[in-house]
Amino acid sequence: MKNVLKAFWVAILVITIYGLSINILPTPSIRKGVSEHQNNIIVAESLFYNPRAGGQVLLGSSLTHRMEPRELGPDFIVLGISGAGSSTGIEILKLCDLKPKAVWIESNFLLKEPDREVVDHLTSQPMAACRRYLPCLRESNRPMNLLFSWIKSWKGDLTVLSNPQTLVSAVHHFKAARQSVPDTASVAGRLHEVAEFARRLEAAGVEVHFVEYPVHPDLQNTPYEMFVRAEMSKALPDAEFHWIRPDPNVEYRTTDGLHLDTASARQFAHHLLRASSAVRNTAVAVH
Amino acid sequence: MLFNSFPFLILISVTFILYYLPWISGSTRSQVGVLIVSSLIFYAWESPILLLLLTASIGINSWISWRIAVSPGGKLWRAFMAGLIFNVLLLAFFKYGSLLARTVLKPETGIATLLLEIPLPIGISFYTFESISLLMDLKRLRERNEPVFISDRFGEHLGQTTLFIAFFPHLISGPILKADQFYRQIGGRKLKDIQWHEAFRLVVIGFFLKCVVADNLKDTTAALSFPSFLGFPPIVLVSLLFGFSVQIFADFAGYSYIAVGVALLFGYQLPRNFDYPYIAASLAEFWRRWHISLSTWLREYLYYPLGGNRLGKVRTYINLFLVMVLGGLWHGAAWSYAAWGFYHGCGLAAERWLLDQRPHLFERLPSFLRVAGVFAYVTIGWIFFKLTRFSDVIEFGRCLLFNWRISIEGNTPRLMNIAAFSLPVLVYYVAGCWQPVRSWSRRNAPILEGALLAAVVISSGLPGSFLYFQF
Repeated sequence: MKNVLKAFWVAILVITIYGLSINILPTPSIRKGVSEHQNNIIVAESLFYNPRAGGQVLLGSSLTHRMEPRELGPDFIVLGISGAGSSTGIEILKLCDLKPKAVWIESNFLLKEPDREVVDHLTSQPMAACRRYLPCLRESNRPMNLLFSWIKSWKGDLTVLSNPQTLVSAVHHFKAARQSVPDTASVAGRLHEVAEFARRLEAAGVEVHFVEYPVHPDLQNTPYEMFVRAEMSKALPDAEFHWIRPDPNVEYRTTDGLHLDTASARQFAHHLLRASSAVRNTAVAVH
Repeated sequence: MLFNSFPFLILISVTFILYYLPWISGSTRSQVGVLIVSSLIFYAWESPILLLLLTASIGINSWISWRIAVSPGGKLWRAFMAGLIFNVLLLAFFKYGSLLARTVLKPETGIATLLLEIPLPIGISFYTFESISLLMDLKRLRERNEPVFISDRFGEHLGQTTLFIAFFPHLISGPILKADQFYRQIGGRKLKDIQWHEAFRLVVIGFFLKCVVADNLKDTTAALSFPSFLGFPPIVLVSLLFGFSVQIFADFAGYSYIAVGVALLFGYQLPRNFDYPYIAASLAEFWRRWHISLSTWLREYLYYPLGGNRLGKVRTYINLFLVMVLGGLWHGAAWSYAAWGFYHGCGLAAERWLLDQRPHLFERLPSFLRVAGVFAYVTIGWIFFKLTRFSDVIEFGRCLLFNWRISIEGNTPRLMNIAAFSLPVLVYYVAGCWQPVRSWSRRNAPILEGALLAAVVISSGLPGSFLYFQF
């Protein structure tokens, strides 16, 4: 029993030292996880544990994940959840009960179910409470993720380029997967929820922008895309909500038909900022 | 219920307190009762309906085993066969029904639909094998006219059998217990008898292997699935396979350590399931070190009854091969598991044949080369575990041979993660097998265990279920 107690004391000592060094040492400028799943948790934590009331939040999927926060501005939190869609971000925003200056919602994967693992990670007790008060237990502060974030901050994030060969096969794959349409009732139900959420935010004085990311032209007019776009125009009409669509004068490049390469993601980020400032200027003029 | 979950922490704490309450402590009947109730809650936690099958299996096996113990000689064989057929059919129906439906029956027929919809009861492979062990051990003793280890009162035997099969540390993923070893341990326990340090050591090592090593590798090796692996160069594919090899070891050995440690808290000694398998210098040795309880079961209840090595060389090769194919199929209802068994069966039979031809053949090789060879062979075999469709395995092989032009760029996190979390396993092997390090780690055990515990708290991967739960 004496040895067991001794081991516990050693563990407490190690955790305390680690926790203190997390607080004392400077944090890396880029926060990344080793895997996609860990990345999702890290971006979710970035909003959940550091809510900034005056900031802006961009909710979306891996398409949004390509957007670099430094291109969008210091008050932006980019909540791109790979493998899921904006609904995960919406859930997290509801959990935070936060009123940011603006919420940007990616529309491309709006129908996907929320990533339950991400949401549960933030809410499952008792670990959720421990993580709130002990930052060293958060995913972003795990030694391996911290090390990886430091390397990324030092070397810079990887530039993603479009590869013609990969692009062709990926577009072919996505096109085949988009030949059928989803169930109308479930689509309408989900879009209705999103519309209600957006209305509540707007009523509370939050700007809401719906963002449609550019995709490869071959995927634009697949039965799935056309059906979803038609349903969205019914549930989230342009007359009521502000939509930002790709600039028709710009040729965006994707790596797989869906995800923008680094240069195009940068272009699109600037397009978003221009479009939103135009809205604000109009609002000021009307006022 | 998972060992690495909060409900389990609550369950084990409550069970422990009740088990050692002054008016329960030392009383076999009450303590067995406490463990049975906890075990049934543990099993029913996710899917209570499955409790029906488990309790039915326990009830029927208790009755048949009791009949074997008390029946006159003539009826012994009949009772044993009834029990064996029951267990084999149970396993065949619930585990292999879907395989039968997919490969033999027409998919649109009613029976095929029914078989495909049957859920796989968690732990069925483990508890069915334990039930068979009970029946076979009793039959052997009766045939030899030796005293049996079970009570002649059915009520008491039912309670003991329930504990033997459902005891929660081993219920879902083993170790597979041998009846004669477990029944003899059933008895009253006192708090002062607990081997605190040993139980703590096992639990901490188990959680470290599972939560820090396996769970951190899991997200990286997830890329080892179709079509994700198509875009990786061979070096990354080999690293992913290596990572999976480490992950499967850490996951299962971690579970076994926790199981043995938790059982020790209640005064039960479960058999060791892993003995540093990746330092094996031959395939036969690997199978003496990997999933020892399954290897022992297969040897005693399948290989020996088939004749073992007593019926000539050719028959020995055939027996080895058959046992491994069936052992492979035990892991899952997919032909890829049979292929994995086939792969190991061929390896074992070939190794045996080579040694029969030249008994000192491998001794000429340096031991590190032998260990590396066995590790490589075993690691390649895990591909059948990870990719359950043959077409994916073939595609993986094709990528391994022809993806040389794909750049390694963008894979640094994967390689880094695999290297970082394989390293502790290497240290674990060195600390366990190299005497100077072993002595040092024994002397500094509390410091090392404290460090491991801290690593579990601050560096656990995102929790995932145990790989062997699916079997």
